[in-house]
This record gives sequence, structure tokens and C-alpha cells, in this order.
Amino acid sequence: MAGFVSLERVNKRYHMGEVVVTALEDVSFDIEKGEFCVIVGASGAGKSTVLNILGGMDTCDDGRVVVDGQNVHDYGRRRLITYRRYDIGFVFQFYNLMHNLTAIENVELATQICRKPLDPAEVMAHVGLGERMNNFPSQLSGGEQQRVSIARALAKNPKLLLCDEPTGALDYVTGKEVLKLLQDTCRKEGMTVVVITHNLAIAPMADRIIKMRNGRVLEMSVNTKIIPVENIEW
Amino acid sequence: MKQALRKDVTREIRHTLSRFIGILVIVALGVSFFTGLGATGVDMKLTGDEYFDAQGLMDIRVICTYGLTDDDIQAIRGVQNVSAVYPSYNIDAMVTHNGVSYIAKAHSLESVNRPSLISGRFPEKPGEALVEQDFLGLKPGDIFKLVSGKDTDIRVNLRTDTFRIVGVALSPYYISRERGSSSIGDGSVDYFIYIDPDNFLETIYSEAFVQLNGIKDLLCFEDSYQDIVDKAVDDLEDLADIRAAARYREMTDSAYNSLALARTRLEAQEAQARQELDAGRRVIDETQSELDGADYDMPRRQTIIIESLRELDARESQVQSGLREINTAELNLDERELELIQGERGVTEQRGELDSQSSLLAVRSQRIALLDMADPENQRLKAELDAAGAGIAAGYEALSASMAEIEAGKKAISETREGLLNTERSLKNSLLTISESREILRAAQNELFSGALDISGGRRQLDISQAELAQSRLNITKELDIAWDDINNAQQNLDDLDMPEWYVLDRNSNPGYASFSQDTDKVTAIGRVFPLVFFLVAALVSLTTMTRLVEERRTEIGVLKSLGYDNRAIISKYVFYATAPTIVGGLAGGYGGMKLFPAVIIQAYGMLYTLPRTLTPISAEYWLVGVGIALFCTVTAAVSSCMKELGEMPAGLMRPKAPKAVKKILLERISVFWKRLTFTQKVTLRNIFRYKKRFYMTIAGIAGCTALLLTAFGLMDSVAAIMGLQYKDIALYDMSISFMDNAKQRDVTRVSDILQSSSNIQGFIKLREKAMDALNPALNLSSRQFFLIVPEDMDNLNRFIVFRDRTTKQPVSAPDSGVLITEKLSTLLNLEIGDQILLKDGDKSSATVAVSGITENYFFHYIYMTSETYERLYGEPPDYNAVYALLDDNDASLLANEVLDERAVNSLTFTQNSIDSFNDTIKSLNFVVFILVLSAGALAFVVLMNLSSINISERMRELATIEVLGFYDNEVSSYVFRESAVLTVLGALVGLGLGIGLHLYVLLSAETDIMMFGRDIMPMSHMYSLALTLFFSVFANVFSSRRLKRIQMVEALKSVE
Repeated sequence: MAGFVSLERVNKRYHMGEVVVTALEDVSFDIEKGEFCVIVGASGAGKSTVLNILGGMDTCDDGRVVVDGQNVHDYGRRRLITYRRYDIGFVFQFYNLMHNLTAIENVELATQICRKPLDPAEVMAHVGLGERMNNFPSQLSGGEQQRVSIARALAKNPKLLLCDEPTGALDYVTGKEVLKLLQDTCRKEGMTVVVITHNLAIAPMADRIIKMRNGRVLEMSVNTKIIPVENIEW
Repeated sequence: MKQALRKDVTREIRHTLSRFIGILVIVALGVSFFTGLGATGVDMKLTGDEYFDAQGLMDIRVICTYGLTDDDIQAIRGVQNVSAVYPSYNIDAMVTHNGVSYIAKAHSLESVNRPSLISGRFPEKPGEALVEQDFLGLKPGDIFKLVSGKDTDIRVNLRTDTFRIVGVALSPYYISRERGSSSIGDGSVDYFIYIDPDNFLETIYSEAFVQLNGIKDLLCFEDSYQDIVDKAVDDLEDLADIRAAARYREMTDSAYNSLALARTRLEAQEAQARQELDAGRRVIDETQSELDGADYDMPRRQTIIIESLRELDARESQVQSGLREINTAELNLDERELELIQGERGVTEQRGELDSQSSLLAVRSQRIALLDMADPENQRLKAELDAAGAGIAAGYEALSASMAEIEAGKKAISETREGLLNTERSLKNSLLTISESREILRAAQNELFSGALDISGGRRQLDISQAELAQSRLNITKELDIAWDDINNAQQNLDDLDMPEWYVLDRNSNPGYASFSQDTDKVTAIGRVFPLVFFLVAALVSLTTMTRLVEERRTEIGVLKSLGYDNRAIISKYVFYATAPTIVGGLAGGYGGMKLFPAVIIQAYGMLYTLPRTLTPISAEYWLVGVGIALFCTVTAAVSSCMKELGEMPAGLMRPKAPKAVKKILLERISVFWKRLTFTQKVTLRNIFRYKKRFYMTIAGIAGCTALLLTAFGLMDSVAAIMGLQYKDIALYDMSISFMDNAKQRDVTRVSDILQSSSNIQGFIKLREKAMDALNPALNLSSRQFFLIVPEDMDNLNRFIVFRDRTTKQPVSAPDSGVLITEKLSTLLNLEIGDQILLKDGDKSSATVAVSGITENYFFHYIYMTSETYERLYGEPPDYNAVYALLDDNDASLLANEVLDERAVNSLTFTQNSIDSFNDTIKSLNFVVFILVLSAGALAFVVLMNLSSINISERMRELATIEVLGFYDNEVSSYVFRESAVLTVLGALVGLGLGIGLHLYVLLSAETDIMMFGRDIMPMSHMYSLALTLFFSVFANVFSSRRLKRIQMVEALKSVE
């Protein structure tokens, strides 16, 4: 039986006028529940496409995408929204916070549409922003904003936490803090976390590492020698 | 502009086409409104002017109360700047069709006011007529008959009364439905017809049409034309005084002469007649006195005779009774004689007895003597014998006494008898005398009777003569009276004969022309304000669009700057971006506007005016000005939004823009309220207050939309209000009658008798109605014409005219010592209660009086005063010259005819006619309203589309984020549209406020001086405006919500803004 997350021979092509760009070609992999998975590859390797398809933001042309037994590849527009709403937490590279909402309100924005949300204030405390939750995003640093973003994803109590270059816009120290938060969440809450990054140095902290290039999975490996975030250097 | 930049800008346009089109459309709308409405007024004027010039419409019309003579015409020709004078005839006549009578005004066909043929030809000889369209439903070739509306035969005035239609035409003299008023029929002309001048038998012209030099090239509705006309009018009015005086002399001199002659002749006749009558009188009087003398004697003599007769009768009866007494006396004598005879006989018998006794005694005494005397018996016997003897002796004695007595008796009787006989004789003589006297008296009596008979005969004769005399006196007096009356009337008429009055009228006195001119001004005035709204919104739309564009291209600007492009080059891109749609949209909108609006509006007015062709030339001036204003708006917006960014250093520009610091908005401080809101509501509120430009643009756009709608609906309300208020709430009378200026009071009374007895009339009131000029003595404002209304009974006036305050609807009390003036007049003259107002009646009189009240009124100006006030001001009681009447529901045309037949009546107007003509105006207004609603919709659509377009593209990331978070489509939509919904509602509310102001502005511009539109907008109109605005908003949102679904979440989330 396939894993908690399973992609089977997924293809994705973009039509740009006359040109057809193949983004994914026969991509298959599995991720187990509670795993911290890193998908790594250079720009244009197709990792974002994978994440988008996993997150229900894009659809594959063919192949199967199964998340917790749901055949996501069959979903129409509306089912996909519902899927995103209840099952997926998304952390963006550029945080994508609502400028007009305070930190906690950004979290509440997510929780108000969920079935079993966590308490926003608790989540804020959990990500270490208990004191600053009434600040607006513009009053927070990048790392703090990313934490808000993570808190917003976590508060939805999703099945799957997808992170798109969560450290991309952050400095080294802050980036590590964010990664630590993600790893801790995975370990302590048993959350399945998928992080995509071009930074291969992050890979050793993951349970599973999927390497991609040119729209194909180059290598999928289960990491047996997990290195804590604190010890990773790049 | 460098090649690369040019490429950049064209690609930019291609990529942001919807915004580009947004600017283009709003500019096109604004410019089309500006040029279209602006040009409409001009085009209407051009259309009219061209038509009037082509048909040679008169510049001035001269009429005189007694018509115009050849001398008059000659004099007019001599006035400066007069190029041509056309003496013309016209007559009002009745024409009957299918049993209904209409009034047709027949004009002589001249080479002025030339009708333009639609079909057929012009009339060439008497008996041919040119008619207007829809004339009684007749066609060329048909025949109709004109009948005089007065007592006279129309053939007194016209050579023939039967006309054949030879053509159908429009007349520049009658461009509206208005055909003017008439003194016949129901008082308003229904049709015009043109006939050959030879038809007219009159020598006096009805009117003269004057054309002036040097005005053909001028637009006749403009001041430059009017100035020339005014000058000529002044000159003609100067001439009028001279000619009127001359005409007056002409008319009066001969009349005075012949009147004097008639008077002398009549006086002579009168004197002669009087003489004859007096002679007759004298004869009668003599006879009369004779008869009277006889009459006086007769009864006296009669009495004397009767008394004499009565005396005779008395004497006769006296005599008779005397005779009767004599007879009785004789009878008595006879009885006594008989008694005496019987007594004689008794005496004789007694004597015989005594003799026998005495013989017996003597025997016995002898025997006794023989006898012893001693015997007692004998003695006694002897005594007895002795006694007897004594007795007999006594008897004898007694008898002789009786005898003597009887003898004496006998003697006395015969003596008495003798006397009686004498008396009887004389009595019998008296009787004879009496009967003789009676005989005489009777004769006298008979004589007397026959005399009486003669007298009464004479008297009868006298009565007859007297009656004859009286009759002839009456006849003569009557004849004389009539003759005098005639002379006096003639004299009165002559005295009353007003100076002939000339009226020098320019085109503005032509009702169609005047209202056409006013309508063009109205359209122009309205055209001045509406584009303002559009230009304002256009400026805001381009400002937000450009700001957005510049912000999006921040990095690019930084790059260009760092590459060494100067500010001008960089700005030029955005200026070009703004200029291109403005010029394209402006030119297109300007062209469309100038072709569409004038055509549609003139078409709408075409229902009111018959103009043969519509001119809609392109006015380069309007076009350029319109595009210029639009360019100014958009370029300013572009430059100002660039300047902010260009101030920064290139490095700063290439860094992502620091997120705008969010401050808590004011509402958040009200935590009770804020806590209750959901996040989307909070976000909406924060967004609304954060993006000020969009806030203002949307509010302005939506408010403009609502304001336009409210204005449009309000206009309908206001115009309808005139009908509803003026004719249903204020002027309640159904019919008004005006009398001739010189109407005699008894003729006026006859009219009121007719009204009094008519079953159609529920009530009427006599009043004085007079046009005058009002001034505010305290301020230097131009004077206003008004109608002075002086009712006979002010207390009764409220059945016919309601005095009330417009805003409170509370009754305003009738004037007492002051005057009550209508609202618009008070506004124009800036008068308030208690102020003094100066009333001028031409040059004749002026009076100052206090304003005691202001009353609601929508048509014309009125001033109401009591007859007491009038008398106080003018020193004489008012002459009542008009009647207002309330009718019941039945047809009153018969009554109208009857009233119009009265010579005192000048005209009769049914209120319903005014209402009908008003309804036409309202119909044309519906078109304007429709256009306004359409453009309001377009405005709202452009603004809302632009708003949501910017909203969506500006917040693409936010929207993508919440989509990623799992917001359903409708939740995403509501996230965006709640904002525009709130802004729409806010804008609409602001728009209602603006709309009230705009509506008032349009009203005041569209309103003429003599008219007041209703000021109130009905609640339903507010509702309609709101509802339509919301509808437009929903429509625009639904339209743009399709864009939301196409958002590429992935793309949006990748890059930094």
C-alpha cells in the first residue's frame, strides 16, 4: 500500500502559446505520515510544481496524487478548495500575510474557515510570538512574519504542512530558527511536513529527501542520519 | 521618446488593456457629454436660425388696435435699418369638421414667414388654401368652408368662404403647437391656413411684418441679433406714438363733425316735436276744463231739482192730508146733523107724548077735581097729577131748550160746512199748483240728464285724445331717446376711443419661438453641469489608474533611472499612457456626443416643434475644449502620480516598497464595535480607509451616478409638480374669462348672469387682472412682470386660488392692507415679508405697498390685494375685468360659446388646455431622463469596473493567499466586493445629497423667470436612484468576479511585489 502521501507517474505540462513546457515527467514518490520531507532541486527542477499539485493549487495532467487516501488528482475546482481548506497548511517564501490584519488576525483568518482549528493565541505562543500577536505584519521582522505564516498554517490543524522555500527570504540565523520550529512541530505534533528548497544543506535534517532535476525525481532517500537543525551549517 | 520606451509603453497598454479602456471610456463619456450637450443648444439654435432665415421669418411684427393703413406702412418703411415691410391680413374663422368646430387663423400668403411646402403647391387665387399637416384630416383637393365666429357674414371680410386645399406646409411662424389666442370660439386657435391676399376685402391691414438689414448672418437667439432688433423696436415705438396720434386724429375728426351735425339736427327735430305736442296738450286742457266746469254744475242742479221735487212731494202730501182732514170733518158734520135731526125728531115725539100726557092729565085733573079731595087717595092722586103736570111742564120746557139747542147746532154745522168747503177749495187749488211745479221740475231734470250724457261723451272723446297725445309723446320721446342714445353712444365711443395703440413685437412674442429659445438655453445650461461630474470622475479614474501603474512599475522606473533616463523621459511613458486613451476617447466621444445628443434631444423636442431638418455640425471648438479638459485631468493625474515615485533614489525604487505602515483606523478604537466584526469585515473596513484615492474615486463615481439618477427622476417630479401643484392644489379654477378693456359694466353683469344661471358653473368670482411690473425699491434689480389680482371678495377667493406656504403647506392668510406675492417673484426681487414693493403700471402709475405674505406658485408671478387696498393705492375702485370659475364635470363648451358670444368677453381659457400643453413638455423630458439614466449607468459601470480591476490586481497576492488558504469562490468574491458594496452604499448616500444640489442647479438653470419647478424630489425617486445605483454596482461586480476565478495563485505567490 502506498504511503500517507503518494504520487504516481505524475505529469504536468504548461502550454505557453505555441511552446509546451514540461514541468513534471513521471514523478512518483511516497511520504509517510509524520515525516519531515525535503524536496530539493535547482530552480526550474519542478519542485514548486510538485508542491502546488500536492497543495491542491494546481492539477496534474495525468498520474495519481493520493493524500491520506483521497484521490486529489480527481478533484474538481471546488473539491480542491475544500481540500486546501481542511487538509493543507501552506507556508510561503514571502509569508503572504494580510497587511491589514494583525498577526493574530492573520491566524484567525485561517482558523475561521476550519472545522477543528487550534486556538490562535496558543499557536502564536507556540511559535514564540505570544507577546507580539497584536502587531501588524509591517511591524514584525521577516523571521517573525514567517512564524506568523507558519502559525497560520498550523492553526488550521492540517494533515499536511507544505513549505515553499520558507527560509528563502530570511537570513541565516532566522532561517534556522524557522526550520527548527518546523522540525519541532513535526516531531512534537506528529505533523507531516514537506519543505521545498534549493538549499541542499538543509537536507540532512529531513526524514526523507527527494532530489529533483528537470521535472524528474532524481533520487528519493530516507535519511537515517538525521542532523538537528542547530548543527546544520550553510 | 526612445524606441525601447515606445515599445515598452505599447506593451504596457496591451497588458493593462482593461485599465486603459477604463480611462478611454470615462474620457469618452465625459467629452461626449460635454460636447454633445453643449452642442445641442447650439445645434438647436442653428437649426432654428437656418430655418427662420430660409423662410424669411419676420424680425418684428407691428400690429395696431385699429389695424394699419397704407400711411402706417409707408412710415414703417422709412424707419432706419428696415429692409422690408410686408403688410398682411389675417382673420380668425370657424371651420367645422364632423360636427366639431375649430378655429382656424387664415393668413394672407406673403413673401415673409414663408411656409415650407410639404406637398402640393402654394395658393394662387382666391378660394385656394395652404394648410398645416393634419388639418382636419383633409388632403389636397378637399374643400372646406370658413364661417365667421361673429354675428357678421364672413364674406364681409373675405371674397369667398369656400376653399380648396392646394398644398400642405410647415410655417416658421408656428414652430410649436401653440397657435395663439383668438377672440372667437373657445378662444384658442387650432389651425393656421394660408390663403391668397386677394381673398381679403379689407383695406386696413391686420399686421405688418418687418425684416431688418444686416442680421441674416447672425444667430437669431444671440444677443448680437437681439441688440439690432431692440434698436429697431425702439425706433418703431417712437414712430408708433406719432402714427397713433395721427391715426387717432384721422378717425376722430370726421366722426366728431358728423356727430355735431347729427346733434344739431336732432335738437331741431326735438324742438319741433315738442311744440306740436304742446299745442295738442293745450287743446285738450281747454276741453278738459270745460268739461270739468260742466261736471261741477250738474250735480248741484240735480240736487236742487231733487230737493224741489221732494218739497213738492211733501207739500202734496200735506195738502192731501188736509183734504183728508176736511173730509173727516164733513163726515163728522154729517153725523152731527143726523144726530140733530134725530134729536128734533125725538123732541117732536116727546112733545107729542107730552101733549098726549097733558091732555090725559087734563082729563084726569077734571076727573080728580070731581073727586073728593079729602080722600087721601085722591089727594095722592091729585099730588101725582100735579107732579105729573109739573113734570109735563118741565118736559115742555126741556123740549123747547133742546129745540133751541138743536137749532143752534144746525146753525153751527152749516156754518162749519161752509168753512170746510172753502178750505177744500183752496187745497184743491194747491194740488193743482204742485202738480204743475212737478211738471216743470221733471222737465228740468230731463234736461239735466241729457246734459250729463253730453259731458261723458265729451270726456270719452277727451280721454282718447289724451291717450293719443301721450302715445305720440311717448313715441316721439322714444325716438328722440334712441336718437340721443345713438348720438351719446357714438360720442361715448368716440370719447372712449383709445389712442390707437401700436404693438411692436419681436420674435420673442411668438410663443413657439420664445419657448424654443428658452428650451435651447435650458439644454445649454444643463449641458454645462453634467460633464463636470464626468470630468471629475475621469480625473479620479485616471489618477488611481496611473498611481497603480506607476506603483507597479516602481522597479522599472528605478531601473530606467539607474540606466540614466531623465525624469522627463520616464514621465513621458505615463503621460503617453494617459494621453493616448484621452485623445482617442475624447475624439471619439466628442464626435459621438455631437452626433448623438443633439440628434436625440432635438428629436425629443421635435415632438414640440416642427422644424424641417436638424443640423448637427461638428463644433471644433467644443471638441477641442472637451478633449483639452479631459487631457488636463488625465495628464495631471499621470504626472502627479509619477512625481512621487521619481523623487526617490533609483536604489530605493528597486527595493520592494516598504509595506505601508498600517495604523489602526478610528473605528478600531471603539472596541465594543470592532470586536463584533468578523475578519473580512475588519479587512474591508481597513482597506476602505487605507486606500484614499480609490475611496474618493469610488465615492465620487457612485455619488455621481446616484446624483445623475436622482436629478433625472427629480426633474420628472419637479415638472410633474407644476401640473400636480399648480393646477390641482393651487389654481383650482377650471375656466377663466377675461373681458375687453373697455367692457361696459352692464355687459359684464350680463356675463355673470349667464354664469349664475348655468348649471355647469359651481361658483365664480369676479376680479381685476392686470399685467404690471414689480420692482424692489430697495435694490437695483430688474423689474418683473406680474399679474395683479384684485378679487371682488377676497374671502371668497380661496375657493379658486389657494394661498399656502410651499414647505410647510400651511395656509397663508389673505392679504389685508398689504399684498400677497408669489414665491418666485419674492426670490427674483429678493423680497421678504414686511418689505416694500413697487408696482408700476407702465408709465401710468406706480404705487408702493408692503408685502404681507408669500405664497406657493409655479407659473407666472401674481400679486394679490384686496379691493380696499386697490382703492387706497389708485384712488378708484377696481374695474373687474376677469372671472375665474369652477366647473362641474360636464362638457362646458356650449357655455363657452355662449359666453364668448357676449361682446364684453375678450377670451375664455380652460385650465385643462394648459395642462394638456404641459403634458407634451413632460414627454420630451422623458427622453432626457432616459439619457441621464443611461449615462449614469455607464458612469457607475466604468468606475466600479475600474475599482474592482485595481482592487483585484493590487491585491492579487492577498487574494491568492486566501484562495490557497481554502476560501471558496464566493468567500473570495465577498472579500473583494464587500468593500465595493460598502463604498457603493456610501457613495450612493453622498450621491443623494449631491443629487439634491444638482437637481436644484439644473432646475434653476432650466427654469425660466416666469416659472417655478417643484422643488421637492419624491421619496420614490430617491428609492429608484438608490436601487438603480445598486443594480449597476452589482452588475459591474458580477462582471468582474469572473476575473477572480482566473487568478493564478501560483504565479501571484511567487514574486515580490
